[in-house]
Amino acid sequence: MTESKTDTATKVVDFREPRVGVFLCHCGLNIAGTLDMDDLEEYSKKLADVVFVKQNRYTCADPGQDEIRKAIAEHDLTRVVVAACSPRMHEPTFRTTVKDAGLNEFYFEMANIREHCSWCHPKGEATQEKAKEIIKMAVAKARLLAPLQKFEVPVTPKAMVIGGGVTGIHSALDLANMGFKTYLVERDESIGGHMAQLDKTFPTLDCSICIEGPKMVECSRNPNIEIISYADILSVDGYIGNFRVKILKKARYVIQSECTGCGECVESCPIEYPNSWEQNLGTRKAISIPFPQAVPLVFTINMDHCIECFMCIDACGDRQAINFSQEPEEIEVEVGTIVVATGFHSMYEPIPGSESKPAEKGYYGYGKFDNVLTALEVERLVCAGGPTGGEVIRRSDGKHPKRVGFIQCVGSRDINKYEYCSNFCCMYTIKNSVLIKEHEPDTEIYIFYIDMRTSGKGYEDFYRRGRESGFTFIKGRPYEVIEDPDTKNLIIRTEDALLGEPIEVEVDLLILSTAGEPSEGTNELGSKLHITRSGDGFFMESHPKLKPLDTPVDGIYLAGACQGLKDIPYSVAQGSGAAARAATVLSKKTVEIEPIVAVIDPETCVNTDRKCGICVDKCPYGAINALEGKAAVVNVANCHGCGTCVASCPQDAITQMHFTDEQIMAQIRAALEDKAEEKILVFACNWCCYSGSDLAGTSRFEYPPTARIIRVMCSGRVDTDFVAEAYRLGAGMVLVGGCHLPTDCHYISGNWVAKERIERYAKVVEGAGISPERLRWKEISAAEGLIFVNTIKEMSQQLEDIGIDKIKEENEKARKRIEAPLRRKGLIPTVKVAESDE
Amino acid sequence: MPLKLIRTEDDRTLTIERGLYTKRFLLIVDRETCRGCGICERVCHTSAISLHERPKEVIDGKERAVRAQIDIDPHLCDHCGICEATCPFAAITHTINGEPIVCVHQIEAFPEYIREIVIDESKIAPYIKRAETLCPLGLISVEDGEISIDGKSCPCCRVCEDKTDGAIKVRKIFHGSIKIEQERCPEGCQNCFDVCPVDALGLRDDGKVYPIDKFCVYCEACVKVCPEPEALTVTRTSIRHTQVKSGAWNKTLEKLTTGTALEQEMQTKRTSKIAESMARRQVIGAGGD
Repeated sequence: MTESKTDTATKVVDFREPRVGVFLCHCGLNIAGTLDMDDLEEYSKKLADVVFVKQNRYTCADPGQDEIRKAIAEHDLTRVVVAACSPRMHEPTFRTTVKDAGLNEFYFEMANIREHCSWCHPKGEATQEKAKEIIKMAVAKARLLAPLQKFEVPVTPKAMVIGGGVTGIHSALDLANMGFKTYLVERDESIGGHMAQLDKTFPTLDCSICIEGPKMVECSRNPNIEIISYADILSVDGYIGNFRVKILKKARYVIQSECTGCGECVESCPIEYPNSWEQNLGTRKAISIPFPQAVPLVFTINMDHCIECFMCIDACGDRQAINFSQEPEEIEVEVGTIVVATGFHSMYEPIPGSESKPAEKGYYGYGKFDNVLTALEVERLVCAGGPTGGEVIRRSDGKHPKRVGFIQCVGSRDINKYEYCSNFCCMYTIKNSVLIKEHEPDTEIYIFYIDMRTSGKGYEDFYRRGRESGFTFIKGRPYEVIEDPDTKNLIIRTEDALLGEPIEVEVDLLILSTAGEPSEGTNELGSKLHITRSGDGFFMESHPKLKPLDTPVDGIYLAGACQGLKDIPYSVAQGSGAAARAATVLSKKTVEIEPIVAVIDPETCVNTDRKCGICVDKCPYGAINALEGKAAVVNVANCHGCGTCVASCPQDAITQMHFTDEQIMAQIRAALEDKAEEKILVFACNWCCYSGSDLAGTSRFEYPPTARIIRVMCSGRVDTDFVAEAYRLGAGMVLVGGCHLPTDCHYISGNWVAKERIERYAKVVEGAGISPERLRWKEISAAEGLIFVNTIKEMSQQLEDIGIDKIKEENEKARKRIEAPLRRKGLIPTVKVAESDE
Repeated sequence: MPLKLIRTEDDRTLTIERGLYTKRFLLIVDRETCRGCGICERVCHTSAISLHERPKEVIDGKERAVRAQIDIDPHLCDHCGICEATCPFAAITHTINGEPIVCVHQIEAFPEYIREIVIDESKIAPYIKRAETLCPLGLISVEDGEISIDGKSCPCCRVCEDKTDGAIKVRKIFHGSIKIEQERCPEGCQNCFDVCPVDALGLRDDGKVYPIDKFCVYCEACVKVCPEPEALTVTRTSIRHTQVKSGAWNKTLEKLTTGTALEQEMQTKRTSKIAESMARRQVIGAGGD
């Protein structure tokens, strides 16, 4: 089935002569406020093959889309260019519009004059000029666009949820209840996540495990859910509808199906070790479960501590659930979608396996003074099921504290640690204060805060309750905490910002509201899934407003604190939301995927005569086969469309659909037709650098309007011929922007190939007499709008420093060497064509 | 602060602490009692224990070897108590919240050494006067006119048995052999002699050391200070201990003795198991008939 679709997709069907319609969007005043739209209209009319130009207030709105459909019919348009926002925003919208009007959806191109122009440059001639050229580049590409057919691939109607906290549990339950088989993968021995560790939840003071426990059990009972706990994700392959996930199930040395959860083995075990689930406040046995409500209720032997006395085997007896020769098991499952719900890590929180590490020394004497605790530790102390049986006591003397201090924003809202607000600390501090006061009513509470943030439903009431209970709120970030060596009390020094004077408060117990941070392994998981992280280290959503649950990878969704810290109700809502997003894919039999694949021309490929196989090496997915004596062939189902092979082919025998050499060359020529020496030509990878440049616009960072940005799917697509053509046309600077090494690349390793290629070519360029700073490789992530801006600023400055005359001189000097490969391949257009363009 | 892992040391003791909020585990090594034999180093399942050689000391104008000293990594120690259970000199003590507890003894995951020391009251009288001189480790004293032996710390060398002509009868914990190949001994070296905790090594007129097998406890403190590999070999062939069914003990036995000891134990266990099942079968058979 795939094959027949492959044929139609790659064959150029119904190529129609270009009749371009250009639609100029005002986007309210977002674009029209900066750019002269009438001038753009006049300019666009003069571009080659443009037969129709129209301005709209909002092209993406219904009337705007109607205009497009109408114009296609009335003016027999065969290409549509919308000059508006980023293609990452509305390209899918307009493709549908074009398709509705009976035109192939790939006959559409966007000119990004909002994020790349009106939002990041002031009103003025240079900005207007840039907008014109962005449109010109889009029209130049549009003229050469070919119609393509999307692939339809079957969808595996199963889902995977990674992370079994409260978010993942809800996601899995919703998916299962919609009828989809769901794998719930958890790294730890039990699902439950942080919520299982909490004593009560704010603002209603529900017992945390009492409300989460039943959901955990529901997961284990639901016939559609398979909990794969104590397991790591090894690798993720495939694409939307068809992911293959390899999972390593760690050895528990207990056979899950035989273990009844009776716990007799625990009684027989002589060895204790610190229980990280209890924040290392208490111990567990070498064979044990981390907490009584664990799901699945299966015991685990920790071989780091087991002395192999085999007493547990005797205790287990006829059940025979213990198997000391169990090995880790690697399994592979196929799923259609993946929901990532890996949660967060609390600062200073011990992780499993950290028993051999003492508490780290941290802020305000944590790890040094006996009576300084984190909030998560207090959750375990205040919990009746915790190691002290619900008694909040001092470590130094085991007594109940009469004065308890809380310091807020420890590690959060701190430019030296994490700049973000951790979201839930204000509320849990009030909650813990209420609980401590409930246990010991004569306790005095002191809360040191910067701002109290209680913006959820019912939260402000709870805050008022705290104030009315007589808690002392002190506005100020303490600068010092010292310990009284005799009493082991803590003395907190701060400036009371409301009184405007320094104060000193002595407390018996100090509790730190430590920041939440990305979970351990977020980076590794991100690179396995090819999803990026934002500047704060959490996973990055596709769009902060409209696609908060999506990732740049189709079919992979985010939920809960792994995307940014959030409290329980918000996490649960996101868990359900992500399940709904996943179901939009799973509920269909097939899914369409982009036909932006690579195709090899068997006539041009030289593998027929001699052993070449360069493309086979460069393909990150192993999608290309080159049998001896035969032309190489791309396995379209495995091709992800990065274009790395296309740029690597010495014969230019490979074409990337929708990003052909001709199309990109046309964009380069359009960009550099005028005043090439004053421009920076940017090749930006769609996922990182291009998104970063969009973010610069969305953030309204201003930078010089010198850059002309060409979008490629991957930096690996950037052929040295493109760079050569840029210099041939006199470009001032060339920037190739890709994802961060080593693992950020959306296509596994395209950025490695690009970096190596560009750095190698930089030597050629320099050898030809071009200043080295005029060709640059830069890794810019989707979150690094500011870095994009700074790079362009820096390069513009260098451009100015070198000077136009010197650039012209260098280009002239280098012309022969730079042009040689282009000339050899016949890539230099004849003068006549160049003229007719003008 | 949740977890403290601390190592403290003074002249007499080395203390390893694992302090949790609710529990405090201590491992205390009595440096005086510790003879540097290295049995604990061999048996530790997390390799937390290491032995270090120490420089020679001048005593009475003569350079003397000093027994090796143990050190324990607080990050690796599990406070399981295996070292305490296997120390023949009882130099190690474990406590949890101040209570002396040996975890592995709690549920019989580990055996105790059998120290058989019998005093023949009818013959002992002549030796009471010089009781203090009977034991090389000073474990014999007189209390209220009666002889008293600190049996818990006794490695069972039988020196007292020899000195009292059998008024005190001792059976060894460890059985084995000690061999010195004197031709391999470096000239003038008597390191082993210097560190032997009991009187199991003698000095010949020519300065060479010879073993006295009947007193040797096969602890290997001498091996730890011997500069010449193979000059001095100690092998343990069996250990007298209470019966337990424990894989950890089998492993320990393997580490401490030649393979035959474990084999013998397993054989004994197997035989008794077969006997047991035969007996059971007979019962069942009888019932069936």
